[in-house]
Amino acid sequence: MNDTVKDIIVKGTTAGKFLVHWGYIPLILFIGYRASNPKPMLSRIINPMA
Amino acid sequence: MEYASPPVADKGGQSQTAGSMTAPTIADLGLKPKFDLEEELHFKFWNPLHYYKALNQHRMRLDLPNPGQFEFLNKELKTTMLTNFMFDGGRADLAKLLSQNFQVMHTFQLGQPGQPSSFEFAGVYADEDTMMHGKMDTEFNFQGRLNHALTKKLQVKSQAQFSTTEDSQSMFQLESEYTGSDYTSNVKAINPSLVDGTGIYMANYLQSITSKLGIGAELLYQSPLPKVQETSISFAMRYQPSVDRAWVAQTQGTNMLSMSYWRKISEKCEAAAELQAINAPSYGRREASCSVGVKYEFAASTVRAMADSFGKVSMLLEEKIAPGFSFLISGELDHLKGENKFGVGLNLES
Repeated sequence: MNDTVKDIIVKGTTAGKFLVHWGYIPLILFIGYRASNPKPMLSRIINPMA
Repeated sequence: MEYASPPVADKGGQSQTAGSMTAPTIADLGLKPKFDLEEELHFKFWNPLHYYKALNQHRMRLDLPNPGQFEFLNKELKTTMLTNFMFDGGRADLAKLLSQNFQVMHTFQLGQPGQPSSFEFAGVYADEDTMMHGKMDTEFNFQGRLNHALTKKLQVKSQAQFSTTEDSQSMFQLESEYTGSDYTSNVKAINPSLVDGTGIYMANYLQSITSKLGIGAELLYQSPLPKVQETSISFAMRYQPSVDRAWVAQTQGTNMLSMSYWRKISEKCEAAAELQAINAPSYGRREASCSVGVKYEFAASTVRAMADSFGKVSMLLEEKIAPGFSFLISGELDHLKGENKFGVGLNLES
């Protein structure tokens, strides 16, 4: 396996890690918000006391 | 002499017999099963595929139940014993059910000497074939899980844990599980690396031998460094003579043996005992531990208690004060070391 392929794989996994780390929870919130009927109020997601 | 007229299979599948009360055969119902149990078995000894077909027909005739998953061989033990539910310090768990499939959880944990206070946010989306769970800390440590059922029998699960403070705690796990009629097989990869082939790879298989006994094996292949490889094989057995008791024995490589017994004494009371023995002279460890736990489930509270062979006695009380609001008290006394831990918590669902 030559160096350019290794480089691409390492860069890809680092970018993937970054995306999953910061984007997974917003993705869950987005999918949950779209799939729920009736749509919950946005303040209920963020505020623990609401 | 009058003979009963033979059943005639209709296009609609209804048999038209005049005056005979025979039960409809599979051919009458218009169904063609995958392995035709009704045909007489002419054993074609010259056809090698027929051996497999004959074995499968015998297996279908036995009609064994599915043994469960290898990971959850002792699932009753995990819910009865206190080890997964024990906590320390002050804790508040607020779960908000925003809709039937979507819920959000806020967890507050008060600080301890050596551990700062933390707040954790978790979001869960659960569908009929997908489950997504993500958790984020105040120190930006992330834990995520994704379960997806590709078909009714094949399920893909993945788990990731990324920590910004310690790189050694980051891991990624990918597993796929196939549930057959009387067996379960599972392939798992932990931290697989396409670059140098390092990682931990596991494959396990669990099969029902009789309706009460299931036997399984797991093959583990580890490659912590590019040129270093290790394999080990472990066996597991689960015997469940009736719905209210289960015996489980599991080995891990050649070093570890764990055995457990779970019994449901009544609707409200369950008890379990577990023995774990480790014999690894190269690591300098030769020890065994035994623990006994009991769980009482009342209408308004749940009590779990556990006693260990290391001199630890612990208890957890969960009291449901109002619908959606419950109060927890936990205590652990370590008589040998003299370290005692107490916890107070509340769970709120809204």
